[in-house]
Amino acid sequence: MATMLDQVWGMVQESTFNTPATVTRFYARTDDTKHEWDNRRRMGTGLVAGGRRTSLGSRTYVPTGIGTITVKLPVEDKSFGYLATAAFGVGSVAVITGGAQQTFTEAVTGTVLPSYTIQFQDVMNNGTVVTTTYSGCTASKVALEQGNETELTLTVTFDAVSRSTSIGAATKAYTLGTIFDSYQATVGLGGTLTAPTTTTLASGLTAFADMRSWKLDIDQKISINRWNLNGGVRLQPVAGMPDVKWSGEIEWNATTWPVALVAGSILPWYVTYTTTNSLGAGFTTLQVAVPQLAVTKGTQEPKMDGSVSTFPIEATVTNDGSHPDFWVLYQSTDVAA
Amino acid sequence: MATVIVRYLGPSTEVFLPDLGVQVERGATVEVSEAFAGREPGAWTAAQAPTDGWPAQRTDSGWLVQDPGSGLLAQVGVWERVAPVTAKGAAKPSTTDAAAAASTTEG
Repeated sequence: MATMLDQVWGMVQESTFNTPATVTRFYARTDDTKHEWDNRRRMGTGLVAGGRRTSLGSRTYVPTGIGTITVKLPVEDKSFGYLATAAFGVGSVAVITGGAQQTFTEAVTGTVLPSYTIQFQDVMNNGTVVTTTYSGCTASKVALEQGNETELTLTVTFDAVSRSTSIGAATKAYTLGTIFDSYQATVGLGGTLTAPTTTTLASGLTAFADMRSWKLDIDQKISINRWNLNGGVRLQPVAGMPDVKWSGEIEWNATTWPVALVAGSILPWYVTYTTTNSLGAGFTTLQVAVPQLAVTKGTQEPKMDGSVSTFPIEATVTNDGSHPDFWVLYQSTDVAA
Repeated sequence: MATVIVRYLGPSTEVFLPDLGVQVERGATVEVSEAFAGREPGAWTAAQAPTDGWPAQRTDSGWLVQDPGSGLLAQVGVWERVAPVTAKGAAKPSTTDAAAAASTTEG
């Protein structure tokens, strides 16, 4: 008998789109991790008279539905690579001393993102476990977010083509690491970016100690409307031009950002998280680097109550013509995604 | 109770099995109950129609479906069977019955 705390979710990459596979990776589950199925109920057009003021139930029907899955969880220094590949689209692994560096971007070379089977094991109040498995899952939206004084979180929204409650519950197994958190982070803003390699992090930017929070939003712009006259089977979404936005909040300790706004500057930026877990001669690390932040918003907003002055900032992520729009770099003991 | 010895293949350096309360390092083995080990995915067999949730392929003569397996052994490439089913205690020392006959050794 399960307990109310045995709520599980897991995932696995599909070798063939929308062909379910046994999930093999399991992650922490939060209240923000949800799944839903839109049955897309339709109503036949036209009025059928008969002394009623509502529609006849026999005139309504359901075509093939659409699944939406949202997962939100803290980023840890183990097992992050698998989910990151699903979220961003592209991941690579290169051996470094003590482990590997994994590099993630949204720079897919084909027309589609990798697809996944995602399973939820939801415990009812009476202890019964309801297992729901979605296949043909493609990341549609991604948010990597650092709030003020909290853990770094990754939120991924998946589009799902199929849903089944007939697939058995997979055996859960977790790999847990150290959670990346704001207290481990340092920021670089402006200056000349030395691009990362497959084995080294980005470097070279001017240290910037005023940042309180940041968020990287990616809309993969996948096409979830591929409804052809094909027996109700929706085709695999193709990946369009992603919309990448960046925002944050800074303390009003310098004119760096407001000056950049007025000047219309484009600034490189990165944030680096370093744990105390040894990795070779260093430590496990996560870095998010953006070569070009095209500044769009951010003017000082002094408070009239004497409190510390902070203000929100925003930028559009543009491409420098020679690098990905951003890198998420992950150095850990994981030697594979 | 029959048990099975399975090996964790990775990719992580270690994995935690909350149902057993044990952590298994990559390359190490663990002795678990037959039910917990489950079975590997089966061969493709002919069928009249797809089975919900099972991999299926349409062929000129009908459908092929595959038993997806169960338990740890259904997770191909993550777990593998390293010893046949044995009577409990016949192959490997076990730490505790409460841990569903789970024990780990370095592989």
